[in-house]
Amino acid sequence: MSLAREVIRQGKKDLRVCGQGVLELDLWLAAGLVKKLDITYIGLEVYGIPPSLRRAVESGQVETCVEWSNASITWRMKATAMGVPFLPARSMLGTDMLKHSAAKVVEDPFTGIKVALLPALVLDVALIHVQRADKYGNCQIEGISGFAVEMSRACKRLIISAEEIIPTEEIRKYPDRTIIPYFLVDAVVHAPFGSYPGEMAYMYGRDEKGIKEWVDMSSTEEGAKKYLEKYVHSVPDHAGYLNLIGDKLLKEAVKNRERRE
Amino acid sequence: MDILESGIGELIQPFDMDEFREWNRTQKSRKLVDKRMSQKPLTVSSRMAAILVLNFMEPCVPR
Repeated sequence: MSLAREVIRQGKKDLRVCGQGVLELDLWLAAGLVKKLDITYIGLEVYGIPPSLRRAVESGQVETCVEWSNASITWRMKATAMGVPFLPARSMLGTDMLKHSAAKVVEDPFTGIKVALLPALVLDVALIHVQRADKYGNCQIEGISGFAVEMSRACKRLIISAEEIIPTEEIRKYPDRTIIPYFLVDAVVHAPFGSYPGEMAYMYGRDEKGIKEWVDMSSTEEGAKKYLEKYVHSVPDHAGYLNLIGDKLLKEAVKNRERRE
Repeated sequence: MDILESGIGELIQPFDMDEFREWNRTQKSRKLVDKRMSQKPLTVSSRMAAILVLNFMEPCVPR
């Protein structure tokens, strides 16, 4: 979220966005940054389809929205990581999702079954938020890692934001957890509470009221602009955002974190 | 190879796999250099950005 807010603050435009989006992508849509979508899931979870998405698509601001299953977009990135132009899969076959994707169906020359060919996805820039990284970019993730492994290997530039920057000696104590090695990473940004108002596994829980505030305000274009002004444009950076949120809410989020015991 | 069916979606990021492989060989350094920076120099071109905020959607399952 901290990187997503900074992208808005810097006024980037005409982005082609790939991946999966919840609040962070909804903010980009409301801010008018997005031109094209190559997307798996986009929504506000229990709150449903975001009004900002609907406005952006219906107004023509988003020129095209190409759909993929979670598995297929992951395997598209995996194809890139493998250096091959496509991977065959059975994901999306027999669904309208395949119709709205850019996949192609062929007959497998070995068995004769139908397979969907998923084109490689080469990203210019990827943004990934992790729990821990060292200054070189070695990253460790706890909890669900999504398609971070594949994405980190399918992009030309990789920007990491990390809850904690820790010594390399600490990273080396648990090498099996380093799922993104340093040589893939171009920049490391220290961003405590970088996923706020979303959660970070085992570190802090989500601020449901904070998310509901966006849901309510983004029901109108004017409300969405007010939200962006308050939480993005009126603060100079992530530190300013955290000051705006205040210690009380941040401590509450830590208290509500998912626990292992 | 015969194409039996094609999706109507646009391939919004045409790719050159050889160019990407060369990029990794020539633009990704193996040197251990301090890569810490603030958010301000962050550059996202008007080309493609990919986003993933990890764990945002993780269900709160007690463990």
